[in-house]
This record gives sequence, C-alpha cells and structure tokens, in this order.
Amino acid sequence: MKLSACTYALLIVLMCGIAPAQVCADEVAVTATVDRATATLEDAVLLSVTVEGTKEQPSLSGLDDFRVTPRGTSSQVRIVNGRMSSSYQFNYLLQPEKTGTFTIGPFTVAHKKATYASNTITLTVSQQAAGSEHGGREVFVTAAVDNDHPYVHERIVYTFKFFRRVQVGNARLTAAPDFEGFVSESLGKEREYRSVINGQAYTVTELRWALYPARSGVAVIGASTLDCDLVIQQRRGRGGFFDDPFFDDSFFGFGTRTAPKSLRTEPVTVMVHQLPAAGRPPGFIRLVGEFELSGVLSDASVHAGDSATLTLTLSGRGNLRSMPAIDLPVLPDVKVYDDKPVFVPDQTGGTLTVKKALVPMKQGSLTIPPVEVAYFNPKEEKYMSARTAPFSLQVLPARQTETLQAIVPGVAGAAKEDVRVLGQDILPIYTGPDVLTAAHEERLNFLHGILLAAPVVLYVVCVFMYNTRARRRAGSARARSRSAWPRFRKRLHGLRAAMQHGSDDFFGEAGRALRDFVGDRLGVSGSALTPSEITSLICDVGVDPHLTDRVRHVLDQCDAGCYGSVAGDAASRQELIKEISAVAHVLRRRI
Amino acid sequence: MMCSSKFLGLLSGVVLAVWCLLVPLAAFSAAGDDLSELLMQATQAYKAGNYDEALSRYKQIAAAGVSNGMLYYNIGNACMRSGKPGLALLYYRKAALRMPRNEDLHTNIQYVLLQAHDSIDCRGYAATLRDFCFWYGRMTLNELAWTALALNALFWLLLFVRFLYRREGLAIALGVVVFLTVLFGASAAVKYYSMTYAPGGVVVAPEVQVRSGTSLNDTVLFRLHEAAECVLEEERDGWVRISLCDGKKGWVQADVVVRID
Repeated sequence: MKLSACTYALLIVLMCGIAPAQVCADEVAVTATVDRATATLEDAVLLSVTVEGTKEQPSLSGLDDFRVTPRGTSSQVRIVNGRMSSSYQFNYLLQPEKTGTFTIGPFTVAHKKATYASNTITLTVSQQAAGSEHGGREVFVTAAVDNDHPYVHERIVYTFKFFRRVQVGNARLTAAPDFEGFVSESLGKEREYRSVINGQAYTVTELRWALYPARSGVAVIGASTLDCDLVIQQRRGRGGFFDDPFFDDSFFGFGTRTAPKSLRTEPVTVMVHQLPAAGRPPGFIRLVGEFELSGVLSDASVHAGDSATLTLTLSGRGNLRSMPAIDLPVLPDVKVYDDKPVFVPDQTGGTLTVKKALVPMKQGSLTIPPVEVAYFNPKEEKYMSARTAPFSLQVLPARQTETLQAIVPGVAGAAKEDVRVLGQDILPIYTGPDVLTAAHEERLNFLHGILLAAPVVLYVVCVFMYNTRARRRAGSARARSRSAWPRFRKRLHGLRAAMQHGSDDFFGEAGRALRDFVGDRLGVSGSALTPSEITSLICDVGVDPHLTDRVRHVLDQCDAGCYGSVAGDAASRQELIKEISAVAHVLRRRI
Repeated sequence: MMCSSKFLGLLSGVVLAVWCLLVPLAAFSAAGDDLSELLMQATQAYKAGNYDEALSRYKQIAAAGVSNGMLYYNIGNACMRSGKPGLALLYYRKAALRMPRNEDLHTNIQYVLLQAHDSIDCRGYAATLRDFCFWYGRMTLNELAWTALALNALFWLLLFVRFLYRREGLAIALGVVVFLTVLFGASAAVKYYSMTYAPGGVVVAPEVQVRSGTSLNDTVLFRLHEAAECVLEEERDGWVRISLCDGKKGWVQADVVVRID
C-alpha cells in the first residue's frame, strides 16, 4: 500500500506535535498551598508547592518557626489541544514551634537566570485544640518528675507519658528530653497500661529515666516531642459497594485517613539544692539517698598467709553508680586485695557489691572494725552513715612457717610491702607573691620572626664583608708586587748616580733597595729584615739554593760596605750594582 | 625680674616632671597593693573552706590582667573544691600551658581525670608519639620557640666559623645543631598550630549531648560529661565540632565546652 503525500505530511505533523508543546512548557509558575489555615502546636500542616514548567526545587524561606519534614514529590503531565504542560508538586510537613500568625512564603524557583516567586500564605497557630486540660483530647503527652526540689546527686525520676484513646500509628519520640545538668539513666523499656481520665479510657505508654542533678541551682529539662499519625475514620456517601461496615475495618484501609500530629510536653523546672556543708563527714563522696551496708566474712578462721573474703553489699535508693569503692579501716598485719566492684541497678537504685581478700600475717584473734559508708539522706536532710557489725577472724598458725617468717614486718631482711594509697586529693594552693606575676602570653609574634631571620642576615653580611676585605687586601699586595720592579729600577738609577758622586751611603742604599724589592714581592716589610730572614723567606717560596746564596752574598757585601772598613773602589761598586740588578732580575721571575 | 620668672618656670617644669613620674608609680603600687589584698583574701577564704569566695577573689585578680600558671592552678583548686570539676580541669590545663613541668599541677590533673565520669581511650599512635617527643609536653610554646631561635643562631655562627676555619669537627657539630634546630622548630610550629587552629577544650556542663549536626533535631551520637576533654575543630552558628582522642566526633553547643588558651 502506498501512502499519499498528504498522509506523510499528516504523520510528520502528528509526530512533531510534541515539539511546540515543549516550548509552551517553559512558562514557569509557582503556587503554594496548605491544607489548613489555622493549626495548633500539636498539628502538622501539609505545605504543597506546585511548580509548573520546570523541575527545579523551590527554595523555602520564612519557615524558621516550623520544623520542616519533606513529604515527597509528585509530578503531573497534561496535553490539552496539542499543548503539553508539566507540573511538579513538592510536599512538606510543617510542625509549628510556637504560636502566632505567620506569613509563609513566597517560595522562589530559579529557572534560566530568572526567579519566579509563589504566593504567600497566612497561617495562625494557637496553643492547643479547644477543649479542656486533657479531657476531650484524643491524644496528649505529659512529662513530670517525682521531686522538683532535690539535692545535688539525689535521684529523681522523670516520667514521660503518651495518652491516646484513638488509633495512632508511626509514633516516635523525635526530640528526646534534654537532660543538660543531670546524669541520666534510662529505667528500662516503655511500659503500656490503661488509665481512666474524666471517665474516658486511655491507653498510656510510659517512659522513665532516673536523673541525678550534677550541680545546684535551677535546672530546666527541655520539652520532649512525640510525632504520630492519627487514624481518622471517614464518612462515605451511601449506595456504594464498600458501604458495608465490614469494609470499615482498618485492615482494608478503606474509610480511614491519617493526620500527622506533633505532641510536645511542657519543660520541667527543677530546683536543685546544694548539699549542706555543716556536718559533712570526712569520708563523704557524693552519695545521696538511703542506703544499707552489710558484710559477710567467708571464713571464721584461716591460716596466717591464707585469704578470707569479706563481701560488702551496699544497697538502697540513690546514686550508687557513682560510688567508686568501699574502703576498710586500716588493718595492721593484714594485707587487703580489692576485687572489681559489681553494680547491679534496679528501679530505685541498685546494689554495689565489693569483695576484698584479707590475708592476715599474724596468728591470733583478729577483729575487723565496722565498715562505714557516709551518705546524705535527703528525707532526713542530714548526713548519715551505713555500717556493718564488726567481724571476727581467728588466724591459725601458718602452714609454712619459713615462708611466713620471711614476710613478717619488722623482722630484719623481711620482704617489703607496697605502699598502699589510702586516699587521694588535690595538692594545696600557692600563696606566694609569684601568683601575682604577669607572665608572657604563649604566642609567637613578629619578634620571633625577626630573630629567626637575623642570624641569616648577619651571616650574609659578615661573609660579604670578609670577602670584600680579603679582596681588597689581595688587591693591595698584588699592586705592591707589580710595582716592585719599577721602583727597584728607579732606585738602581739612584745607586748609579751615588756611585758617580762617591756617596758614603752607597752600600746601605744598595742593601735597602734589594731588601725592599724582596719585601714588596713577598708582601712584607723588607727593610727591617736581616740577610738570614730574607734568604729564609725566599727559600720558603721555592727559590733555588744557588740563587738564595747569591742574594745572601750580595746582602752580606752591602752590610760589609755599610758597617765595615771596606770602602770599595768604583769597579767593585759597579760590580755590586750589576750583581744586585742580576739577582733582582732573576728574583722577579721566581717570586 | 627676668631671673625670677625663669626660675619659676624651671621650678614648675621640674615639679610637673616629678608629678608625671610619681603618679603612675603610685597608681602601679596601689594596684599592686589591691592585688596583694585580693590574694590574701582569696587565700584566707580558701583555707577557711569558703571556696566560692576564694574563686571569686582569684577571678578578680585574673580580671585585673594577671595571667600565670600559679593563679590558674589556684583557680582550678577553688573550682575543684566547689564541686566544678570541668572548670577545675579547664584552669589546670590553662596552668599547664604556662608551667608544664609543675608536678603539683600534674598530680591535680590526674586527680580530676580520676573523678571524671567519662573514660576516653587515648592510647594509640598519637599517644606513643607524644610519649616519644617528651619535650613537647614539658616545654611551653615560648620555651620551644626560644630554644629553636637560639639553636638557629648557633647554627649560623658555626657556619661562619667554618667559613673562616675549615675544620672537620665543625661539620659534625653543624649537623647536630641543624637536627636540633629542626626538631625544636617543628615542635614549636606544631604547638602553635594546635593552640591556634585545633585548641583543646573541656566540657563544663554536667552532661552534654553530642549530635551529628548543628541542630537540636540532629541525632545524638554520644554523651559526654563534665571534665571530658576534646579538641575544638570548628565553630559554626553557636555550635562547635569536637573530636575525642579515640576518634569520635560530633557537634555540641558552644557554651558547654570551653577552649583551653
């Protein structure tokens, strides 16, 4: 079958019909709605923000006074007359935190560099549903303590109760009570029972915590919040198939809907009293309540060196968990070994069991004085002590006398005993004037940076200066060495003139000329040197012995002419000039 | 007449100069007397068992600008006697930053830790390293910094001596000094970093709920009690992110944990 050109054109138009519809989808609109205009603090308000034309999630603002819980997203696509439009609904559950009238929104959506805002909604939140204290209410929660004026460390019980007389689901404690200022201890799992209030039967779920105030003053236990979904029966119109009461059973899920509820307790204020300072016994360690102490000694008689077990049981109502141990009075000639204390809690306090192994060292009759534990009784409002009866133990002779003797205290060479710590405390305060001394703050500062860099800079400067000076000194010696020969030749001309004029200081001048030449070449002061020193110097710089002897010979001639009786004729003076000139010429090349 | 006016001018100048010199000295002396009086009152109150009053007096001394380890030690003692172990540990730690080798202080810190409710396992690699680098905990930041600076100066001095006289022994000495300089310099840098960017903190509230975020609706991860120690990592919107030495982390409200500085 062949399709005509018109049919092809129609198909193409139908297939491409979505394209113009998508263009239309770019029109963005944001709408916000709530499921109610008034609510109570217990209600949860369903907020729906519908965004058309884009999938962008709205930006929520102005919801600081609400607890916001996302409740999912739904989408809808419609094609009407070839135009397609899509919308996305973002749902949130708002739980009011306080009462008042609130303006919710506008919520904004950003799309293609443009921002679209929703409408605003006014929501009024009141304290609670109209009705009585609790009467008439389907669900409510309460929180209370059994004693709102306790002493520090005194045990009180905080009870949270959830009352309901309708079906609820998904109940959960979203904000647990805030026990800041207390040491808390959960008292087991929740308890459920029935209770009748104002003639109406409620199902009650109860949670309890034992609290121990940690310090005196006013302490506030914050509100607890319980969220749940109320199951509400819905009425339907007559005539339908599901009108039969059989289908009203919630098992089928017909005829019911759920309404979220957020129930909150009132904060509980507790006034905590300080323990009185008067009459506080020395061994008192934060034990508050009512206690009894009992003790059992495992054996009536033991051999010296063997152990008997003393079991001490402290039980009662109070903060027993904070009791670290029970100390015995000091027992001479008895070693005491502590076992790990065992604490078993119960609904009112608990039982602390402490076992101690007693090893008597000496035979005889041993009496252990009563063991005592000091505590504060808040009912009597005074410090009291729980004590045991004294214990008697008959110590028989040791099974192995030799071993026993080795550890009897006081005997020479006896085994040493560990120092036993009887108590612990902080060390005393400082009272001297040093307490008032202002110390430097522990901070690195600019001075540290300067002092870190200073040695580096000093090093660089010193090295630079040393090198400069060395260079300068080296330059000066080199210049002197270079100018030695011209100066010597100048003085040689002077010598020749002196020879012609018959100068008396001819030999002295000749010796100084050669000495200064050598001195200039070697960088020393040559005029003060003796012939031996000059020959030694030129020998040190590697001049051969023959030349050294010649230099020595010339200098000796000069000294002899200068200081001796030899006056020397013109020929010998001429000869000396030649020799000095020759020696200096050779030395010029060697040094 | 001229001489008389010059003399009067000179005299008034001298009087003014003496006044300017003596007034600050007198003020300083008066302030010192006040502090001594406060210290005496604090000591008497402490010895009489009136620890709250002693604490108040010590805090007045601190507020006057006095800051040293012994004062913080005394404040710690007064807090401990008043039943505030968290604050006591805080002031002991402040004192330890200033006099880390004071044995009395360490005894008292051990006592507070013994009384603390929480047992935090601090063993591990970091603790081993801290034990090995024993000088780190036994020296203040200033001591570490000055030691490093002195060693640095010695290093450059030795380097210059070696520049002048090339001796074999100097190279070994240089190596030793370089090693010590780097060691103490790194220690000072680490201490400065930890004091500035990851300072320690002490829980001062009886019980604190450590949460997963900066909201009261966030999950409670664990609970801490008074005198628990932690590291303060970050502060945001009135909340502080803390970490324990056993690796636990979480957020607490800023007013329940006090920074050690």
